[in-house]
Amino acid sequence: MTSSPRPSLRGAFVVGWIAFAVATVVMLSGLSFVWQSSYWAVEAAVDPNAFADSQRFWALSSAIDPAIKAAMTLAPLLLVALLAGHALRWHRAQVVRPSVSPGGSDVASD
Amino acid sequence: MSVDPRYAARFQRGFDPSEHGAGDAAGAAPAAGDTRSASSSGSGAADHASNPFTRPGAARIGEPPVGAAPSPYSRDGAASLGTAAGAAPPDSAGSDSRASAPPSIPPSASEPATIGPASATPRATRPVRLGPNGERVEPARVDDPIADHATRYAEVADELTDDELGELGLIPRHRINPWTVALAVVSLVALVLAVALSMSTYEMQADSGYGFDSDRDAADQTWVFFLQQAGQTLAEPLYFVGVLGSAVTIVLLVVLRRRR
Repeated sequence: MTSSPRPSLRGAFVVGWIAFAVATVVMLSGLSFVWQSSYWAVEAAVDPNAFADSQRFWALSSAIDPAIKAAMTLAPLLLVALLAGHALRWHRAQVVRPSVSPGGSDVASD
Repeated sequence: MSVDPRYAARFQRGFDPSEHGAGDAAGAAPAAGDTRSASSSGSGAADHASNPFTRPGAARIGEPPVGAAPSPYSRDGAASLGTAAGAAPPDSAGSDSRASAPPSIPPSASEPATIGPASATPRATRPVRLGPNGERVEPARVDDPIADHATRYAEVADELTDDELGELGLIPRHRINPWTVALAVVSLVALVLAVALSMSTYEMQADSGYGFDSDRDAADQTWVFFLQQAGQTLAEPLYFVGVLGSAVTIVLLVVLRRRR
């Protein structure tokens, strides 16, 4: 991996990847509520005794539905933005490096 | 106690025969291409000039050894000492290979004749390179063979193709951005997965109806409905990643395009 010229930029990337991991976990756990709600909905259609469970899971999933939508928006955006940011940083490092290297002994490299 | 002055000269620091008149012979010396004809002209003059510690006009101290190597003090080989470079006697067959070697190469340990005191080579030296102000320039340290090739071929860079220049490191190599490739792979995989999930859930829904029209029993209908809902909800962020990532990949390929 190319070394970052600024440590703050590297820290931003680390924070971004951690945020992506958190958003992915939140999204999948929120989707699990949606899946349980749908499962219990059809289960209640078959078995009337499961109606109470169906209502509970439907209420819960509809309550956290904005959070699920937010996580489902945030995680893909973060993934694409982080990969694009890495690509931009790599490109910048590749462009800068050849102009520095020929006079490496003369120019202070920092 | 008498010491052979040729042997003692090995330990003299900074002894340069050109300072003592030995380099004066270079002015009247013929070109380097004429050294073979000059060495074969007369063995007496060649033997005299092969000893770097005798002045041109002075009397010789000792007999020059057989197979004398050319002087290491000569800056540009045969031309500086003139006839001294081809100083080997033409009748000695063993010294022909040593005389044909470039004189700037110091004598190696594999040749004991050049190390002993009988040799006319006083000490192992490297050719001295002088800077623009007359200072002594250390020879370039060759750690990186690519850099050595680069400095060597930089003079003839006009005659090389772009591929050869790229191999020598003289022009930046056109490398593919691995992060763009990663973004393209991730977005394409997400897009394919999303389409596959959509198609499979649609197939679940389409191949058999619901309710009393369905081929399945109630438990199967429940399971199929659950799988369909789960697949469609999972396909939604995958569509997002796939479409957005593909667009950003195209934008990156256009923006980060190398112009030459």
